[in-house]
Amino acid sequence: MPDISSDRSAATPPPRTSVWLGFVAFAAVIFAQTFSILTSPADRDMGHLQKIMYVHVPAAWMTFLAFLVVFVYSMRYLWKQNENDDLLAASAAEVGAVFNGLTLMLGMIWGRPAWGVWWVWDARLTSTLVLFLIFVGYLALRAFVDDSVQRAKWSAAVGAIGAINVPIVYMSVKWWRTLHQPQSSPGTLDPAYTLGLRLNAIALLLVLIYFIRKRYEIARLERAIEDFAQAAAMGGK
Amino acid sequence: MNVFEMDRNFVIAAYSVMWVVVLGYLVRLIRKGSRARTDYDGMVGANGGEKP
Repeated sequence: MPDISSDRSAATPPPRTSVWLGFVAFAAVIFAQTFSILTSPADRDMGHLQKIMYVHVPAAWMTFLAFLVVFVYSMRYLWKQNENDDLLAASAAEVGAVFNGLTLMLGMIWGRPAWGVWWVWDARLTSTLVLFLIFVGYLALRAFVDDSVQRAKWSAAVGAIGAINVPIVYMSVKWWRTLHQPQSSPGTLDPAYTLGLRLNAIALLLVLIYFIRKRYEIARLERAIEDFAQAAAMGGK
Repeated sequence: MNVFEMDRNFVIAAYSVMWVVVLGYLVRLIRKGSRARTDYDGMVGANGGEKP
């Protein structure tokens, strides 16, 4: 990921996120979903339910990627104390929480017809829910702490520790006996489904990048507005 | 309802949920961004064009 956090001071908002990136990202999702739905044959065991994989699995991958960004920029904030790193980590955390919630909902919709239940407390589902709750807590923490330096420090600590749960979620289907199937990846899939999964993952990756950039732009604007308000309160300009 | 129709309904539900969540978040970001940009431009304008 390009380093977009150290280009300017936090008080100066970044340039507007390209609208074209958004258009390309959403057009890519429409193309990828249409292609995969029309070209993939019904699975021998799951029938057409298999098509839920094209949204559920990429959403889970984007969750992991977003929380990886949180981890990297939280560690970087703790190291360099650059406020922009904190804002980027927080932006990725919010987007990651959205994808995490989406992954859980899609998994429940897939689980009901496949397993006969909406939810089961197995290792994969439970660890994914714990990951979601950690990052909801992270966002709540940011909302309740007024001092920006304390907020950044505590958030970085929670973000870095919380992201450690990502490899636990990923490996849970290997480490414990679960109802959830092993990880779906191009290496474990029938070749008939590989291209569709890759296309959907790339399309959702573009959406993830667009969302994080846009959220980061807003975070910088809000921070600059806070600076204005503080300067005004202190009798400055 | 046969098994095929039931499967199809769950697939439609999954894709619908995905689009509602993603588009809902997109609208939220656009609204929030537009409001923040307006506030910021207003503050810069009131400050004689100077940034903080």
